[in-house]
Amino acid sequence: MKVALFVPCYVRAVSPQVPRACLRLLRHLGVEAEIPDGQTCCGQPMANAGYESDTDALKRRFEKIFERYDTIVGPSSSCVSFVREHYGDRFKGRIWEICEYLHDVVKPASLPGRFPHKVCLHNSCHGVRMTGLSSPSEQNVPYFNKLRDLLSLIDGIEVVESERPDECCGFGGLFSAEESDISVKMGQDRVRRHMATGPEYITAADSSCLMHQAGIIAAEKLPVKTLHITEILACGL
Amino acid sequence: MRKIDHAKVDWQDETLWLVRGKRDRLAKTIPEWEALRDAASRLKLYSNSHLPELLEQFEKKASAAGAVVHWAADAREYREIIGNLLTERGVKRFVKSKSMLSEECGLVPYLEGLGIEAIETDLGERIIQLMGSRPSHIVLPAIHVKREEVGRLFEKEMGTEPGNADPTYLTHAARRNLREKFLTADAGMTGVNFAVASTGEVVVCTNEGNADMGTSLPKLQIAAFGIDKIVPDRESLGVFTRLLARTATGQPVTTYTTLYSAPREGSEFHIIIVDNGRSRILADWEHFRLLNCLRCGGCMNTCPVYRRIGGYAYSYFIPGPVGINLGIMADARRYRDNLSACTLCASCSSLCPAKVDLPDQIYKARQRWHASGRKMLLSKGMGLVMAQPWTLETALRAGKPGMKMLKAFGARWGKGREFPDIASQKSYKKLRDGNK
Amino acid sequence: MATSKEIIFRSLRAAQPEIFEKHDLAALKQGSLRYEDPLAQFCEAVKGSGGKVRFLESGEDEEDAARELFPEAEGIAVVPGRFGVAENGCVYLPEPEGRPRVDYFITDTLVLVIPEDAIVHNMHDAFDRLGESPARYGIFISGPSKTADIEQALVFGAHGARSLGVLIRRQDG
Repeated sequence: MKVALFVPCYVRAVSPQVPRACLRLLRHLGVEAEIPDGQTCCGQPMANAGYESDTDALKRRFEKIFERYDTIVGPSSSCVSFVREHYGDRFKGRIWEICEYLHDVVKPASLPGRFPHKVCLHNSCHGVRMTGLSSPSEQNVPYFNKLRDLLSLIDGIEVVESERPDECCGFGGLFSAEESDISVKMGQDRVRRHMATGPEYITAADSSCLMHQAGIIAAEKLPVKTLHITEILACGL
Repeated sequence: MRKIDHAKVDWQDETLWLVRGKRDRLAKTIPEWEALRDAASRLKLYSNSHLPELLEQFEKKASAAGAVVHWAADAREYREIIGNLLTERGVKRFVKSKSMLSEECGLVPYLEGLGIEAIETDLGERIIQLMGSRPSHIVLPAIHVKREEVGRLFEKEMGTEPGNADPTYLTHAARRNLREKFLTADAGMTGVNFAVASTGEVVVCTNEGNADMGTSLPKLQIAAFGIDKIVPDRESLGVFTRLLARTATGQPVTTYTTLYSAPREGSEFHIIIVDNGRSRILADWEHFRLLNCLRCGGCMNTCPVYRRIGGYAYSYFIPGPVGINLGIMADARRYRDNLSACTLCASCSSLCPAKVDLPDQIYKARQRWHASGRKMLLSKGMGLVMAQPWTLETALRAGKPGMKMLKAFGARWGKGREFPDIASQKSYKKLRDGNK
Repeated sequence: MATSKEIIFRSLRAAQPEIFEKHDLAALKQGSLRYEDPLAQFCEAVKGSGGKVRFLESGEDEEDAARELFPEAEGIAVVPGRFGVAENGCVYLPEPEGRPRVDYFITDTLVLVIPEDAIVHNMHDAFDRLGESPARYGIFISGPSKTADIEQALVFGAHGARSLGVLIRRQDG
């Protein structure tokens, strides 16, 4: 049975190279995957803004598309955790953020490719505190970072984390429009801290955070690029 | 939309982050820290779901020790009980230590209306009172005030040297100024951090010693607390006192942790137990865990939004993540505007010593209380775009040149941030269709 | 007419919250942080809270030792404490005997005296030691009075004692 790739709406809109990287990665690691047709949005932006009741049709659409798959993976911890939390028990145990899936289930011992660059890791809020991709800075738990573990499989890469390694970048879905002054300020602060580590790239498991930070980077014409983590993991494929 | 005060934002953010940093370092010295948080949460869930028994037990024990227990169903009763206690005894000067309950119930203006001089004695609260303002943080009430502003204020109010803004100098000036008030006050009042059912004690945790001065000199001592301050026993205090100061200010413990039950020789001790809407929170299954809150202020120090906008950007008197929710429970229509001041990053609940599910509550409250028409339009619009694959594709097709055009006209996604480019959908479709 | 207490209790009963059972703290307490040398840790913690520590050899006078610890002090109150807490430098004091409570706060310099074998590891032990029987009054004091209400700058001597010392009496043999 093939694994389904869940492609969140904004990933498709602004970074369609991300699903390509996901498919290549999965395939290389012996996981047959496909992108089911008819996907739009899981409903998270509207629900977080207070309109979950308007997302019933989207939920039904999502369920219809994905119900026949045993395993669903998606390149967004935020959207994946939304489905986990707000779709009842339907997808619990079946849906994975892609790095979580690779790290916990596929467990690759190596990945081809060389990425001789300094990369600053953006630990996203939902990645850290809902999906458990890394240890939350608030808690007294041993350090771990699944993203770092995966990136360490790539030859030549230097991975760093910034001061305040998991502070929110201020995207927050419709928050970015409704409280845009605060959102921009938080984004500027986050990007500034990333820049202080001297990176060539900023990477994350959430394209939404990267899209927001790329907007700041473009406005300030900063010498750094954003890449979704799967793009780096698939660099040799 | 809330505005950023660019002159103060970085200073305020760094100052509060410093407090969080201190808290983090201490939390990491306690190997069982997460187990402590878990225990605190469970103890509060236990006590809040057994309030009638525990409150009865508290009243019995406190009365046996010689305290007089009063009950106030709402803010008005709370004010009147205190007003009567003071006027019946001819109190002219009343010193109080920090109590969020007194802010909640509007005590000081009420007493002033009765002609009683009500003096805040916590340094931060005193600064705020002299400024004619309100606290911007529940533990650090004057966190938004710069030392130069305090210098100018004290020069006017206490005759300190012009231009001297040294915190040590100013603190000691306030010490001298307030020492005289303590010595001449007729009554003293404190808030309460914990009320212990098994012993009838109220526990007050402070650093300055103002609460202890204010309760050790006058003939009348008053302590007031909300029903959610009840804890079952002293054993549970072990858990709470290990968490409270470490989380609140990054200290191993407050300077003073005082357990009061009997009045001092020759004086009176009155305890007021207040509901004022707490039983309503108890009945609301979505917000029930709000009663776990220890009022440590940790959620404010970690909140990335609060640190950048400060307490005055919220319409409810308690700001930050917990204030957003308490405001909803106090008067949702009046305070629902605060719901937007949250990115749902969940740093608050990840840090909260009693594990209040703050972001989940904000999420749920947003479903019940819609604040802005603009957000509704954005949300409904997005819903239409996402309704069908073809609507999404049409929007993306139009969005690609549309976004380019917008950007060409200088449109921005907020000041200081560019819109993203919409990508061509050809490669995505090829990818999707080529892999079946 | 119903009293306020009845009104409150009626609302509490009507609320019908989910019921949670009491959590047993035994495992937490058993696994809580203990120190190899609690006395040394206590001394560190007192210093960390801004206080001073001095040992009292048997027969040494408390007042003299306190004066030696704070030669510049304007007024010193020397009071007996029950026990110290290693994790945070607290000393527990009961209702003072033969003097008013305010003596703990109004003095410029407060000096607390405890025996060296009266150190508990942490606040769990501290409250276990107090037990559940009501006392009139009790206080844990850790260091001198302090505030950071002006720009988070730490200042000692807000309203209570400006300086605090702990004298630890050595036990004979």
